[in-house]
Amino acid sequence: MVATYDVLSPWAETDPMPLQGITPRVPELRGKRIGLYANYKRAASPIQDAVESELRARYGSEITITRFAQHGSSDIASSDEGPSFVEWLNKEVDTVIVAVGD
Amino acid sequence: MYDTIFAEQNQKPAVALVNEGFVHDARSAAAGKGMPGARFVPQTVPCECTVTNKIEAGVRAAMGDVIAALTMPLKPEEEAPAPRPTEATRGAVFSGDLSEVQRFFYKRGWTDGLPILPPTREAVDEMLSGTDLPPDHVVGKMIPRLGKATVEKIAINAVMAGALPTAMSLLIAGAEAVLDPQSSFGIFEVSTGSWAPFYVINGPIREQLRINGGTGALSPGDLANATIGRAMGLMVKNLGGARKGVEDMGVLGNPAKYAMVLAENEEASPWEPLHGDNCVTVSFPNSYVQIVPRGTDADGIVGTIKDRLGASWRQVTLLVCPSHAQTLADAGWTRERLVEHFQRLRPEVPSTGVGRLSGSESVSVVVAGGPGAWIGLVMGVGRWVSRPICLPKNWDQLVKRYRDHAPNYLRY
Repeated sequence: MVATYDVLSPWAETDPMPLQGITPRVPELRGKRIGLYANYKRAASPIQDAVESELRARYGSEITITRFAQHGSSDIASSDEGPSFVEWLNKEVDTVIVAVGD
Repeated sequence: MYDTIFAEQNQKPAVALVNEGFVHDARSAAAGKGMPGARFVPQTVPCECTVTNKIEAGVRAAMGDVIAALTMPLKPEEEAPAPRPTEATRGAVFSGDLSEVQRFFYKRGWTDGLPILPPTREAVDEMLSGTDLPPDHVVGKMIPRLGKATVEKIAINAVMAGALPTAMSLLIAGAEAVLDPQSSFGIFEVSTGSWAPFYVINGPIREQLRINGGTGALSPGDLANATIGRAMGLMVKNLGGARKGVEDMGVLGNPAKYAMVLAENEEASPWEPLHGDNCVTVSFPNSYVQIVPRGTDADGIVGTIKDRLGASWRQVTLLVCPSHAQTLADAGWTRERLVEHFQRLRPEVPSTGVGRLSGSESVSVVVAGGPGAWIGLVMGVGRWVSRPICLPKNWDQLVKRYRDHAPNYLRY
């Protein structure tokens, strides 16, 4: 007779995560302030250089571009840079492009 | 994606540019943060690329999608995401013979690719005899899923790994060490760098569990070393939920993710141990190299280590075999002097990347190994985190019960 095993799950429980929708989009980029955020990875800022160049080629002076480069190496929300990032978002940005370098 | 989500949470519509190989990672990260609709655009710029024309070409190809992601109206599921069904985590989740259990666990992604011991109620209860903590005690929540590392779930993964109940208190301390923010586990576990946890054990528990710190300490063959490392790896996978190619984006991977555990060879060391009592220390190296010194005098040993470290290291654990440790001690080198000497040689930490995770201490010296001339350099970034191991009240009986569980090699 072959033994049968009733086995328990090694998978952990998690607390329920409240679900959130994303923020409504801007109708178009013309006239908007576009924030280019680069995380700490070395390709992120060069990617944003290329993004800026592409945006200018398409929109010229009809958009405003503002940059924020992370200096730490963790999730910006929980880092020392979090407050300055939020301030940048609130004061200088209508919509954000995030480059993570990966 | 976390930074993108943070922007969204601050009411700014955002889109992330991610390398096309990270699409699953991005989707998982967004779902894990409760914002499954967070927008991202796959692009072809290679990871960490420094070649301008490749960056420009990849961005140019993706710009249309980026603009669309910033301006196209939301779909209903982006505005109000629906909850997804969740995996059952309590009670018996499968019944079958040994082969069927193996297939079930493997297909679920719950193993490390090797066969597991079935975690039956009886086996888990026996494992729980190794701790006084209640089964529902939460040691912490493990990134990236924030899965609750309860004592019972630790025990289940320990059974799967083939660990003995005497390992439970060590595994709980190991989980605490890994979950300490100082360990930067949350970054290392998912990094492209394939950083693997390396555990050094101190104290009387080494001998009681027969954790090898002598000949072949890092080779297979010692139940304690193998199963403790394996159990920790299974915990990281099943409690934290770091799946290879989804959250764990290690480019090449690392065999040390199976197990890299050793005991400090305190008895053969001329110095005070790394820690005076039962303790587990974790760090996250991604490379391990062994060298033979050009001379076995103190200058030869120290000079060879210096040359091999070279010009771009961040953190090193030096595994010094007993004979070299004695030679160094006879020449006046203490562990502290060795640490200071090599720490002074550390190159400046770069301003980008995981190098920033390094602390002011960058060198550790551990006496390990058997007779011979080889020295180990275990190299990474980041910090060492230590935790005391709290033993249960029935410790002496527990050790006695499993004492004979040791190899008895065939003599030939």
